Amino acid sequence: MANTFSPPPTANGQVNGSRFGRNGTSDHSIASLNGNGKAPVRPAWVGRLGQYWDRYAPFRNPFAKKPDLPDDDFDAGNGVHAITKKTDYWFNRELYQLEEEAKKLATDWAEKGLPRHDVARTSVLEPEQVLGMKCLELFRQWHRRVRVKMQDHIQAASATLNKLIGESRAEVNALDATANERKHTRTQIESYQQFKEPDGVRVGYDRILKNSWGFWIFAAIVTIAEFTANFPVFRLLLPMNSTLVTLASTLGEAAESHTWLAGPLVLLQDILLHFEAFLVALIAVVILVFLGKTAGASARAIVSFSESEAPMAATTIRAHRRQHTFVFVAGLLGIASVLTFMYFARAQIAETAQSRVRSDSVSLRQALFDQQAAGTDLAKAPAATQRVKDATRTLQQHLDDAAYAETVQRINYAIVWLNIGLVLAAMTLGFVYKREDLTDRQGEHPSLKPLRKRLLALEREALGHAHAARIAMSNAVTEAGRINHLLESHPVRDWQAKQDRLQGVIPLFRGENARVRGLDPMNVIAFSQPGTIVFPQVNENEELRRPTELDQLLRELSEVEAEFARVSAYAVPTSAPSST
Amino acid sequence: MVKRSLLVLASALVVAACDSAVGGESPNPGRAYIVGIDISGSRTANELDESKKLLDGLIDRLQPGDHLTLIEVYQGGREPAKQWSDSIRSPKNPKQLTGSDERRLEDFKDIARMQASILFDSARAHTILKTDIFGTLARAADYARASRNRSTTLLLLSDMMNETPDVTMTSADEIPGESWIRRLATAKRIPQLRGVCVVVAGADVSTARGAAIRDFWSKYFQAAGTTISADNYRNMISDPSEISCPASTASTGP
Repeated sequence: MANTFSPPPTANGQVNGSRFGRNGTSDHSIASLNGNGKAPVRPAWVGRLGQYWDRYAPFRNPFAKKPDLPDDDFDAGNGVHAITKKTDYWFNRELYQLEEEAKKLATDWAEKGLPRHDVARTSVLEPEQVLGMKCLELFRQWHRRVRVKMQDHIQAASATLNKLIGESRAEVNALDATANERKHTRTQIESYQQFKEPDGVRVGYDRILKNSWGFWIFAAIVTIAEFTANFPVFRLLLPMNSTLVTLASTLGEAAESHTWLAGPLVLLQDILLHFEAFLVALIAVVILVFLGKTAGASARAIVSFSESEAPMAATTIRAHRRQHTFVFVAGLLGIASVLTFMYFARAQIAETAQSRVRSDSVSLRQALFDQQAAGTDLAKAPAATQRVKDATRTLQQHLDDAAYAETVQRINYAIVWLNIGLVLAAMTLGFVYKREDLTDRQGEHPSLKPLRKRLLALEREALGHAHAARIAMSNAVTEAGRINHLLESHPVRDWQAKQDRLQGVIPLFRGENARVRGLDPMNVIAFSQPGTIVFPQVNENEELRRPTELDQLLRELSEVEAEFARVSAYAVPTSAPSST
Repeated sequence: MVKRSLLVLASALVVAACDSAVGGESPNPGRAYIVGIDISGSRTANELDESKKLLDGLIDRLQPGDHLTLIEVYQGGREPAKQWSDSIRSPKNPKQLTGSDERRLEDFKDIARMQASILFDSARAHTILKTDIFGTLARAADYARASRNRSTTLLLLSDMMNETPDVTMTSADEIPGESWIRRLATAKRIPQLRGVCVVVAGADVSTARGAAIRDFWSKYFQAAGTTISADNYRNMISDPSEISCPASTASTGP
């Protein structure tokens, strides 16, 4: 007997066994006394805990043998058994209660010594009459329950069938609509693929600065300006040896005699004497100008072309832009690196120059010391004096350099802006001198890409519709078959067995009464009358009521299937199977 | 064709190399000045100052390619005299001096002035008791011989009074005669100063003894292969440009 402490049955009313719950196979189970021999009774705490244990049992043996349950416990499904199972359960429970009541009545009457074993009764014994009426009522209720439940399920299945047919029809219609849209899209793609731009349309741009001489003149000016601005820094960073320092000094003095040409001459001599610095500065400046010019040219290549303006050259434009973007970014990084290096180099030349001054001061002190040590020695004094003179000149030169370096350091930011301005000038020069022609086009109409994307999406959508339609139709066919199965199931076919079970209630009463009194039922005269309950006859072949709309639904299902077969012949993409 | 070009190029390189090697010798040999500095006790401080000024003036007039030798007048015996000899490198283009040439010239002059200051140290003047003019001339002759083709000028900043055990010129009687000079010449003990312009500044020309000394040295220099005119045997020369000889005097010989 089920009670509130029992675990809830599964969807099909089956009660699964577990470590805490009995599976109903034990002969000693109290719960098996309810007569069905299946639903075990568990304590309350065991029931809830058992569910979790069944679901999350951590030590479950994966190789354990499955419980040997009857097949009908597993194969309930949506068939007749699944529908009538609960009714059978209900019937058994009610019968059990009736039997208990029969036993109780038998005991009560036996304690009173009733019915008297030696007195014959002309009428039916009252308890037996009550029990008989209850059995009759129980049988009628069972009969009505079985039919009503079966009819309800048939009606519900009919409704489900109707719904599935509707879904199938909607999917088939959507598949058809998708096919039409795909056809339209494909037509558009073909028309765009045949699109040609009129001849003579040029994809490119000309130079803004058309004069080559002008370009080279400006390039030279920018290079010279950049070189002149940065060479002194490199000159201080890369010092000459003492010989060249002396020579530079004397050349500078000699240049003074050239009056107004002294400035350029001194600069030229300085450049030539600081050959290492000259090379490094020249290379750095040329690289800077080159990077600026290249970055400017690439910038024009990036901003000048647009796929929307020249759709047929779209592929070429994209490739072109990709390359020039890389060049532009690399150029900017190179410029930033060079400018940063120059900025930091200028920031520390003052310190470098001061360190040279300190070193020269030490050298001069040493030379003066040597001169004093030479004293009046005619052999040593000249060399010592010459060293003092050289050291003095070097110190003076480096003092001048240190003063210059401090000035440069003070205006470092200004020089940075000058450098940036010159780089921008080089970029502008590259921009205005850039010329490009991408007329040799390899592209396609810009609308093709979204159309292809749309076509692909429609194909995916069609496959989805076809898949959903097949599933809906398959389910509809299944549901129709189930209805037929339920209609032909004859669920009250085992009515005789139920009546036989109920016929046992009166004998149970009589046997229990005699047993309590220590008598043989045969010795009780009142029990000599037949205790058979008269049940009404049942037509076991009586058919269930067929839903009125079922035939119409079956026709619609056939129509939908035919429609799907027609549409899928052209609407399902080639990658998908065309038949159901 | 290529072979010929290579031959021409090689020839040009060889010619350039030879030219470079020959060009190491300057076309302008410059002048050589040999200065004998006498700071003996017989000379007054004023005379020494005048000699110093004259020497500084001479140094100021030096040009690239010139050679300067400073010799302290010998004290006789085996004591060596202080000497310094150096030259200014000849410029590649004497008509247009480079800054380097000028710097080198200035450095040389500074060093020469410093050397002159050392040699004119007045503190040492009182410790010198002997004056060996002959020894100094012998050393000057050696320097003059090494002057090669430079026009050589011997400037003697001295009173020309030799004071050695052999010859002492403190009185007119003790001044050797012509026979003494001939004996030395015969014995080849007179240094040869052929082609050397001799200039004396600081000698006494106003007294009889001075005149006798001047005559002696005139004969002596003649025996040495050169002459000294009366204009070049003076007590004081104010203008350094006067330290020169007429073209004929320097080349005359015995």
